[in-house]
Amino acid sequence: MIKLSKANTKRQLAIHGWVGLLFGFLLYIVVFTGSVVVFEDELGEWSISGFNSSQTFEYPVDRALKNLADNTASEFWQNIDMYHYQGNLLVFFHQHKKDRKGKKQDYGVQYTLNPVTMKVVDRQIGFRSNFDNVTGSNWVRFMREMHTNLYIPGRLGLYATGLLGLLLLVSAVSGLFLHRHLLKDMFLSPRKLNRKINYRDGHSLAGTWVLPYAFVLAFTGAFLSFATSLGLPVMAYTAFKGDVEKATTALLSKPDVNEVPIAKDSQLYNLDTLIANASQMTDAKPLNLTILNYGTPQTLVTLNHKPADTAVFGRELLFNGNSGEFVREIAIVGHKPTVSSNSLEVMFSLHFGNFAGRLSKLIWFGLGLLLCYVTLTGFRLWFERRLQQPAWQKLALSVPIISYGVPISFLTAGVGFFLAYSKAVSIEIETMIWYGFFAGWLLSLFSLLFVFVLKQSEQANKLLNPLSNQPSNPLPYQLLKHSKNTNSDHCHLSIKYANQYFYFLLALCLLLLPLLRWQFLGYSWGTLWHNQDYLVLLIDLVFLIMGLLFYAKFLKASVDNSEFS
Amino acid sequence: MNILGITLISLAVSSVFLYRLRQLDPKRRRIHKLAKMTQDKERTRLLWLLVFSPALPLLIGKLFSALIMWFAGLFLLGWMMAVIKPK
Repeated sequence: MIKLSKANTKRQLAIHGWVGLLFGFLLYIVVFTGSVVVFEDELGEWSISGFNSSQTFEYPVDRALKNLADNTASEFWQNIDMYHYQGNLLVFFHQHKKDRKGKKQDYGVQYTLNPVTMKVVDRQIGFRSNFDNVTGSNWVRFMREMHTNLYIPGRLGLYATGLLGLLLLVSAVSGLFLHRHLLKDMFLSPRKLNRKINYRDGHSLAGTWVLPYAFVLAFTGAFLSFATSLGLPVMAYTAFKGDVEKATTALLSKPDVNEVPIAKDSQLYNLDTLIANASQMTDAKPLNLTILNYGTPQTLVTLNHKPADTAVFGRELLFNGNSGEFVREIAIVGHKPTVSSNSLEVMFSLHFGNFAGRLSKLIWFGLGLLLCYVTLTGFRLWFERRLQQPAWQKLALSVPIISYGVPISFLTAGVGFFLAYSKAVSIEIETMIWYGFFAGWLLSLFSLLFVFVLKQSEQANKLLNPLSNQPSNPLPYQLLKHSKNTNSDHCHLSIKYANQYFYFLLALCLLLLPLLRWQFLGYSWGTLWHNQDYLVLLIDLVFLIMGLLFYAKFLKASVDNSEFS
Repeated sequence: MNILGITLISLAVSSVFLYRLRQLDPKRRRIHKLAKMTQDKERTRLLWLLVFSPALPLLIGKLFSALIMWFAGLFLLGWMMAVIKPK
C-alpha cells in the first residue's frame, strides 16, 4: 500500500484525470490502432485476399535470380532485394537516383515471381515508391500510420506519439499512487452498488492488471518515436556537424564491400546453399535477402531472419557473396551485437509483440484492448463524478461517441478501401479510405440525432425497438420529472440510447466487411478452402461472430430501453 | 514440444493457482458476501510463488519467447478471472 497525504492524493488525482481527459482520445486512437496492427500481416492478407504469404524462401531461387540478372541492365546490379510479398516473390534490381524533388530514392527494375515455379508474373521499372505493390494493403497501412504519427506530417507526428507515450507513463505512475489498495483489490470484480462504484471498480481492476504492459508499451513507444525523430538529429548535430547521413552510417555500421577480400572471379556463390547455411545458423528461415555489388569480385549477401522459436528477436547475417563465407552478424546499432543493441531489439519485440507467431500477437492484441478499456472507463468515471454539473452533462454523450466512433470509423475506412481497391469507384484508394473514415465519424455523430430527435418520434421508436411488444414511448420526460435527479438520469438514458445505436452500427459494419471482401475481391469461402487460405476464412468468421454478438447486444439493449420507457 | 505448447502449459499451470488465489481472496469474499474463510498469509504467499513457478523452467531452458508470452498472458488471464462476478 502506497501512503500519500490528502493534498498529494488530490494532486495525483488531478494529474491522472486531466491527462486522461485532455489526451485520452488521442491515446485511445494510438493504442487501439496499435492493438489492431499487431495483426498487420494477417489483416493485410485478408484485405486483399487470395494470396498466401506464409512461404518464405521455401523453393530454390539461385537459378531464377541469375537468369533475371542476365536480362537486366548491369547498372541496376548494385543492389538487389529479394523478399516475399502477398504470396509472390519480389526481386528488385536497383540503384540510388534523385527524384524530381532532388531526394535520393531506389530506382530500378522489379520482377514479381511465382514463388514455386519462379515464373515472372510482372515487371515494373521506376522508383520503388511508385510501384503498385506499395499500395497493396492501404487500409492496414492507414491504421499503422495513424498509430505511428497520427497522420501529422514530418517529425511532428513522431513527437506527438512519443509525447502520448510519455503521458501514458504519467497516467500509469499516477494511477499506481492513487490506487492505494492495488494488491488487496486485484481480485475484486466490479460491484454493482451504483454506477460510480461500478465504473471505478472496473477501471481500477483493469488498470491494475494492465499496469506492467502499460509501462512497457509507454516506454518503448516513446523511445521508438523519439529515437529517430529527436535522438538521431541531436546526435548528428552534436557529433557529426549536422550530417545525418554520416551519423546514420556510423550508427548502423552498414555492410561495406571492403569487409571482404577481392575474389578471383565475379561469380555469385550458390544462393540456395547460402540460405540453407544461414537458416541452420539461426534456426529460422530468412524474411528477406539483399545482394550488394552483384557481378563484382566483392559481392555481399545479407539475410534477415525472423526470430527462432525460442528467441525474442531475429538475426541478420552477412556473407561473402563470392565465396559463401560467413562474415559477421549485423547488429541493429553498432558493428556487432552488443548488450545495448540486443536491448534495443528486445524493446522492438516488446512493443510490436510479433516475436513468436500468432499467440504472442493475440496476447498483445488482448492487452492492447484492455488498455483501451481502461482509458474508456476512465472517461466514464470522470463524467459520472460530474453529472450533477450542467456543463459536464452536455459533454457526457461524447463518451459513447468516442468509444464506438473510433472502431466504427476504422471499419468504414475498410469499406472505402474495398470500394476503391476493387475499382467499384474510380477514386484513389487513399482518398477513399479517408472518405470512409470521415463517414464513420459522421455516422457516429448521427447518434446525437438518434438520441435527441428520432427517439422522440413514436414511429421511429417502433422501428428501432424490433423486439418490444410494449407501446413505444418517446424519451420518458414525464417519468424523469418525478425523479430526484432528473438531469443526470436523463443523461444516463441518452447514453443508453446512444449505446443501442452504436451496437447496431458496429454490428452492421462488422457483418458488412466480410461480405464486401467476398463481393469485391471475388474469393468465396469455397475458393479459399480449396486454396487452403484458412487465414482469410478465419478472419471472415471473426468479423461475422463479432457482428452477430453486437447485433445480439443491440436487440437486448432495445428491449431493456423500451422496458425502462 | 513447440513454443506454443510450452507457453499454453505454463499459462495453464499458473491459472490453476491464480484461480485458487481468486477463490480465497478475502476482500472479494467479503464484498460479494461469500462464506468467510480463514486468512492464511503463508498459503497466499505459497500460491503466488506457484503462480510464478513456470518462470524458472522457462528461464533455465532459455525459452525467452515463451517466458515473455507467459508473463504477458498471465496478466490478461488474471484480469479475465478477476472480472467475473461470483454467483
